[in-house]
Amino acid sequence: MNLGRLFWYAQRYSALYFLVFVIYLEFLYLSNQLNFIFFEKNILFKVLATLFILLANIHGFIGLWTVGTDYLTKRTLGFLSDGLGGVANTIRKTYEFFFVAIGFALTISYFYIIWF
Amino acid sequence: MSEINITAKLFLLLGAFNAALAEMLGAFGAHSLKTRLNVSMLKTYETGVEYHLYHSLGLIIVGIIAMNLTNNFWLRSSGWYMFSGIIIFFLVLPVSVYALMELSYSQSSYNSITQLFDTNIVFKSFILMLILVFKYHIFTGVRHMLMDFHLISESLASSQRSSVITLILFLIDALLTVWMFI
Repeated sequence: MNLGRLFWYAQRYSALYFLVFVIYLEFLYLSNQLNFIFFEKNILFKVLATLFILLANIHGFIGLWTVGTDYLTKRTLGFLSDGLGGVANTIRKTYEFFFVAIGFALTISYFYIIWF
Repeated sequence: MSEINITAKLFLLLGAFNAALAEMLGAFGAHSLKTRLNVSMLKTYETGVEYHLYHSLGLIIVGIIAMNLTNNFWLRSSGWYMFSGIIIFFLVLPVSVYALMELSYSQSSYNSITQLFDTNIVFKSFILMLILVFKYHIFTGVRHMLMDFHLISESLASSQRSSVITLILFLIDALLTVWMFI
């Protein structure tokens, strides 16, 4: 399986997990199980939330990267102005750096909050 | 309106049919069951008919909404789908970090954030809005997945139909979600 195809499937199978996770959260809310002790002690929630942030990063990375390579290109930004088109690659790389950094920050925060 | 789209037609027909059915069942209860059932049983029956009628009206309203949705701004669903994804990454996830931190840090931080949610209408609306963005992405995402795996067709007519259906399902779920938190 090549890398592009792996990414394509990773994004879609992770989405299935989000669907299950949201249903799980709604079930918790509606069945009145949520309180401080739950967030502090429930191992199932901790594991599922950790899995959520990991998959959300993979899913989000592929999605944002695709949006970048689709819309922040020499051609598309060139429609706005020649100057912007000329620096399209720099703009896209900056944008990629920006969301990768945020992704790391989110993952580390989640890990720290959940497990420490 | 020269032609009604098929989704609108379906909901309007279901609504009209169910309203007629509710009317008939109501009449049956009022005239025929009245002599056979006791007061409490009759009251239960009438409540059933009443809610049946409300939901028929709901179906008709959905039909009217669907009728006016053709080529609507909100039906550019692929664009809104990507946009909601961007909002989720840059806003919903960071706010979820903050919420999770407050909820799991200590009993008093848990109390203060849940109290803020219950009493501050601005904070509550903001959180609700983020939840709806997330749900919008999930609803439109399911539509895109069904298209990706060729479970629904990607032709223009079919895409327009599926985006109307997706938007209606999302709006119904949005109402339920808001209602769940009020």
